[in-house]
Amino acid sequence: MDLLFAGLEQVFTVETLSLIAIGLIVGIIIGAIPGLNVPLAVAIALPITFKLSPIGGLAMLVGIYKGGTYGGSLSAVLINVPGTPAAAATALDGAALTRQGKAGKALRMSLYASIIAEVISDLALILFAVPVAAFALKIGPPETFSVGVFALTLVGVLSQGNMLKGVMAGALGLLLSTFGVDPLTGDFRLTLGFDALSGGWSFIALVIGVFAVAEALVKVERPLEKPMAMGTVRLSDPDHRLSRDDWRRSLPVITRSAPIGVLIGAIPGLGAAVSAYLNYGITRNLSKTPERFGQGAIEGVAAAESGNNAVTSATFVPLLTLGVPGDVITAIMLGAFIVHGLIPGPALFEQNSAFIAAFFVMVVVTTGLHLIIGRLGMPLFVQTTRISNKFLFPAIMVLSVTGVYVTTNSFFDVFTMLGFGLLGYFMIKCSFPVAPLLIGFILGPLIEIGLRQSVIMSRGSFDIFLTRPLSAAFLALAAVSVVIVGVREWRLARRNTPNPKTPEGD
Amino acid sequence: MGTGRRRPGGDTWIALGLIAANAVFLRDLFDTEPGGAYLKTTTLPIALSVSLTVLSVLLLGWSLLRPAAPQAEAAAEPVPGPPPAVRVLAATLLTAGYIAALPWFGYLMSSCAYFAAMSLLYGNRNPVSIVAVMVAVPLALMLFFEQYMIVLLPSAGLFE
Repeated sequence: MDLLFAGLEQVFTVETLSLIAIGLIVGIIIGAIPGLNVPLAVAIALPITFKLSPIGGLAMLVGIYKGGTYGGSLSAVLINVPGTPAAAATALDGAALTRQGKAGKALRMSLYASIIAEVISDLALILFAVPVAAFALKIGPPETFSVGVFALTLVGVLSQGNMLKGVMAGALGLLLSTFGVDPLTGDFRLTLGFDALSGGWSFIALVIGVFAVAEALVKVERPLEKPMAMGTVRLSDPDHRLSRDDWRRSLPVITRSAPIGVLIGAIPGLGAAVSAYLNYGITRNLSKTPERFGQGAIEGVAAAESGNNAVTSATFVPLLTLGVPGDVITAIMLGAFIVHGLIPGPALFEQNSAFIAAFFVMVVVTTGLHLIIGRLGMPLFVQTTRISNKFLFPAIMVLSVTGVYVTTNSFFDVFTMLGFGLLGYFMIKCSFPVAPLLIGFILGPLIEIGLRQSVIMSRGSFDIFLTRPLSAAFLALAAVSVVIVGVREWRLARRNTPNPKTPEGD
Repeated sequence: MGTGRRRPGGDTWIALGLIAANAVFLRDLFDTEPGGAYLKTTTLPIALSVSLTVLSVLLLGWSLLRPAAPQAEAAAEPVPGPPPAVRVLAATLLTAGYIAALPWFGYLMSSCAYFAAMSLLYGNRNPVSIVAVMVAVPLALMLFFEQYMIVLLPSAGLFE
């Protein structure tokens, strides 16, 4: 109890609270701008934190992390341009809600789902750090491969009614992820004679291309469309408020997605994008009305955002308990710990228990401030829907080019973005689902590295995937998922096939 | 309107495009000296490329053999000005030109010109608003990235 009070004393100072607020605001802005990512913002802020107290410096970084992870959803919902790769799953239903004049509803759910998931993630960090870390330690290459295969079955889930095209898009995403240097041997493959392709296709160019550029090309066909909202948008309007029915649909989804996100966050290397898509796919798979997804299903926003933000505190579990960063952002933050003489690992809990207590308090306080700042900013964010297409889309295109350039510093990648934009445009025109392409691209390296490392571990045998219990469990889940999707697709096809005995009209 | 002979549509062209692209990829992969133990560097890409080719052939067959759908009764309301395909082509070429111009004319000049051209393409005919926004947006982005994020944007190589 003394430690808790000491922690409260350290966190509830004007300096620490201000640093958390600054971190959150900067994070939300950075997250909402396509191309600027959270690792970049954390890296830039890192040297500033060296001059601050340990808890103050880390408070700012945690604020950027949490704010940035949520901020990606703002542009995804409002202009269908995911600010972060993880927010691409939010765009699927969030942007559809905005097109229906319900941007406030999507923004509210995005914020509240993020906050609830963050609270669950914070509690998991505080109460179950050690058992969760023990679980994460059991995840080796075979389990990573099996998780990847399970997540890949989402391609089928997200392609319902268009299975051939969905599977093709997923296979294309997987194939695109294999371009460039082989992550295991360092050999080059599929560079097609271009040095610029030796590092593979840029993920940010792919995301911005298939979402932002493709959307801009679709909109240029009919440029005189009116903006989504003509007058001032009021969040108090019924269309912008969450109804009891919205909560009834979303709350079970959030309470299921957040723990899954916590486990994914605790496993080093998986990250927020995998969690967001996995939870979106599971939610759609379990839904009695999967056809609503992609058309503005509020629980789609809830699943993606809770899955996305549940990762944020969970990535600190392996960092604090084992000294192993859960993702790129915590890897950068490790620098801040070390500069302040704090070496993450089991000894940290024994030797710096006061700091650990303050850290736990700070993480919870950051979530509370996140709710306040996010809610205060919402009336401002939602006014984006009033901007006319003739201003909005030229600005989106300039922002997209700028975002890819500042991320990659390569004109080749900017041209690539335009190429992916054309690909996305033709995919939309020919009714190819875009989400499987991104899922394939995200999961490709995970699956390939997991597969090849496992086969090396077992000296060429594939039995290793079935003899390890966790790996076998994930493969069994993948098989169940395929059966569910197959049965659903078969029923859908039967429903859509006209009965030959019924005479056709006309 | 009954079912008739099917003309090649978007699916047909996408399938043909993917088959052609995969032929290029497979040639590159078979020319690569594969490294690695058990599963080689090129094993997974070859498997994926072959799978995608097979799926593309299936799509091609399906797109050519399925009965033609009845034509839509009511076309969408026509938009004044060039047809949609020309607008898409113009937007694509403008963007490609913008990216190509960045290293020569710099971020600010290229972005202002591109913003103005795109505003016209999206139907803005108000010169005051075009000029105001074409300067404000790129300038704000440049100040944000260069002053606050300390990220350098392309400078005008032609005038250096």
